[in-house]
Amino acid sequence: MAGMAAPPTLEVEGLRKSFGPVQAVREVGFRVDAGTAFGVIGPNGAGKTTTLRMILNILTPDAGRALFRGRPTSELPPRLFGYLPEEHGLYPRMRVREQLVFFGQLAGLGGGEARRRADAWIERLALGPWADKPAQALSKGNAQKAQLATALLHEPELIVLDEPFAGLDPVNVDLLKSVIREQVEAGRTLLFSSHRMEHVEELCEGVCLIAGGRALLAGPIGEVKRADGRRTLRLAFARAGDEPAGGEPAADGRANELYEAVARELQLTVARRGVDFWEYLIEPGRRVEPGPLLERIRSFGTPLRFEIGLPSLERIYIDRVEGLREQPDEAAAARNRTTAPREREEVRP
Amino acid sequence: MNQFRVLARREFLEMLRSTSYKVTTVIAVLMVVGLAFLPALLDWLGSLDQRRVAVLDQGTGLAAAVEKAAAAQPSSARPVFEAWSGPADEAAVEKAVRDGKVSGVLWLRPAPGPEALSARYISKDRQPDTVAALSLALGQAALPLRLERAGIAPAAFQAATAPVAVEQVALAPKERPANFMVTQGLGYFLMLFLYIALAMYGAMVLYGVTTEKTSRIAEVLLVATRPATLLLAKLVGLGAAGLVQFLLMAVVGVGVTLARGLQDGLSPLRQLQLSTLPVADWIWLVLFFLVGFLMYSALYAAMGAMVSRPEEAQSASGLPTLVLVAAYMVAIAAIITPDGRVATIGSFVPFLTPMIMFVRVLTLPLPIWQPLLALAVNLAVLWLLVRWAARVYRDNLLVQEPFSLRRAFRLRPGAAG
Repeated sequence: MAGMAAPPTLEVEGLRKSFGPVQAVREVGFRVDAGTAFGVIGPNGAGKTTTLRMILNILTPDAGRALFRGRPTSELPPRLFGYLPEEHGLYPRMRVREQLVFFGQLAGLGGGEARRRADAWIERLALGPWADKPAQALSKGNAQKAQLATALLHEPELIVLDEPFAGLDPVNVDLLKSVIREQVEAGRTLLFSSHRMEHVEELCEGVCLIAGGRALLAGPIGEVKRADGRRTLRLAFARAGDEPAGGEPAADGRANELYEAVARELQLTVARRGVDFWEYLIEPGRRVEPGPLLERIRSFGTPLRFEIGLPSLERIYIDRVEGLREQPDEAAAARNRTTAPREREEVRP
Repeated sequence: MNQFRVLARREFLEMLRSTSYKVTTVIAVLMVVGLAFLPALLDWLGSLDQRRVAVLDQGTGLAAAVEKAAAAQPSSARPVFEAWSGPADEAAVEKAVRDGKVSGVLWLRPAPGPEALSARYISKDRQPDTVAALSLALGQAALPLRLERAGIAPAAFQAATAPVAVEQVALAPKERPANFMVTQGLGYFLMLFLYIALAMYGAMVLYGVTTEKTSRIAEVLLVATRPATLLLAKLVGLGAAGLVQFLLMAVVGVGVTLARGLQDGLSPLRQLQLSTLPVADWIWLVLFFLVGFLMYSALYAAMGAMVSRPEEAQSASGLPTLVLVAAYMVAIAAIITPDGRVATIGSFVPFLTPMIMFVRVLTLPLPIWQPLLALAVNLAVLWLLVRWAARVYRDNLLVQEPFSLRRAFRLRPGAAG
């Protein structure tokens, strides 16, 4: 209606929901910019699905609200939303093509338009051979794709996908990623939950980590990583005797001793032991001088890979969620929310 | 509105395509055809069991009279007569009976005195029904001869045994239609049909909701539409499918009855047929079916929404089935005395109205305000019921907890603490 409407933004504030004595969501809030993808991550049973359901008005929150374009989602017409639930919701005996047309019409499309779009999505998601089969005959992956089509067919403005990658093979994961990118490029706001941090890191601008019903972290991914305060050092030594350029990383027992020695001497925590590279964590507050550090590393061996960066989302996720387990509830949540730097110390070469 | 149409059409088409619907339609149509041909069927079944009785008449001259008297008896015990063609000796008779040439031989001899004749019936097994039928027929056949021997004039006998006429003086007569018995029988049949239809469609609604919930489709639908729309569309879609089945049965029933009606005249038994029902009663039947269907279905749907595993459907159907059976029991009482107090009160009680008021409309000349008032009461309750069912729907479609009746009547489920 208003010609100069603000760009569509999803604002989630202070959501809470209990089921009887169980507090599923205690305090969740985040903000999603218009035309971006946003990841909701967290362990099983953290309250992700309940949060998504409250955003979509399937569940009524006990407290808090979800605003889309400045208005509560409960007041907006359902055709603005597209939803892929975690567990497939298809009529078992209805044919896939009919099902897509049905959901298109339910969202207000005319019969002809719904059929045209259903055919287009069947083509796009390579569902052709299953289009006229009942949904109960579909494999998990194909049912997931059919469900995705029902969520997107009516071109919703806000797309919510609950665990969209679950059960997909690598080819279909790639297909889903390209569909997500297309939707975001088309200006739609997309929210998805996942256990796969690399997908979130690859596709999303923002992220929210929910654990124990609380948002532990929320914001643009870059900010979340910087706020963590830690840095990572990724290191791979060349195999002894190899030519330095294009050589393979060392990965035998002797090499492992070398990597362990680096951790000991430089007082770094090992975050990842791999055949291709090792990753160390540099605690918050320690200054890192790349030049001298590289010189120090050279004294151990020939580095094939030397990279200082921000910690991966997975690292942050694991540490936060584990921290929560060690110090349950309030204390942990309070500690995790504060990102004040600890003691200042330099990484001495 | 558009959403409602899309949802209702889907329910309607899916029901039409389902195997159970096709099977029940075929069975229902066969039942209607069977009922229309029931009198003929009974005749035929009776003829299969008819006994062949040979009459060995040694000079009474009553064989023809016995056959005539037996013909007036009810068909089930009526034997087929034939004249004994063999020699009149015990051995020949025994042999014919043992060989199964006839079911039995009736041996008549004249007797002196007031008895006039003696009769013996020789058969392989005991045939008490045939013996009773023969005894009755013989009594009638021998009556003129016996009266003559006793010296009684037939006219005097008739006058002496004639029933005494009782003049009836009713001070406040309740009007019952002339063919009360016929409408009562028909009413029972249609009421039974209504009961079966309500139970069957109720179970279908329950199954539909359970499928929707256990297949998690409800979660997607709840994003796209409101629980009340979802519920009403389901009831209307399935109700329409039920009505199609219903109309098909009516068309077949009337068609078959007309075809038979042309074939032979109306005997008393054949009056018990659907074509004798006035059009207004058909309209009432459809109206009460619809109201009953909507009420019971809303109840079944609410129960179905609380089922989280298909195995629980049985316990979920407990409450609505209990109500339905109770309504049926009262309806049985109502059909015996449609003008009694139980029937009159019951016909205005929600859930009982569809069957009981229908029976009363069928058998009694009721003032029109009675069924209309009962319908209005039921529609008001239906409105409340749908609102309640929609709430149960909304609160339970996503809850995967074991079925509990208590949850349906909790004020705000899931909001404790």
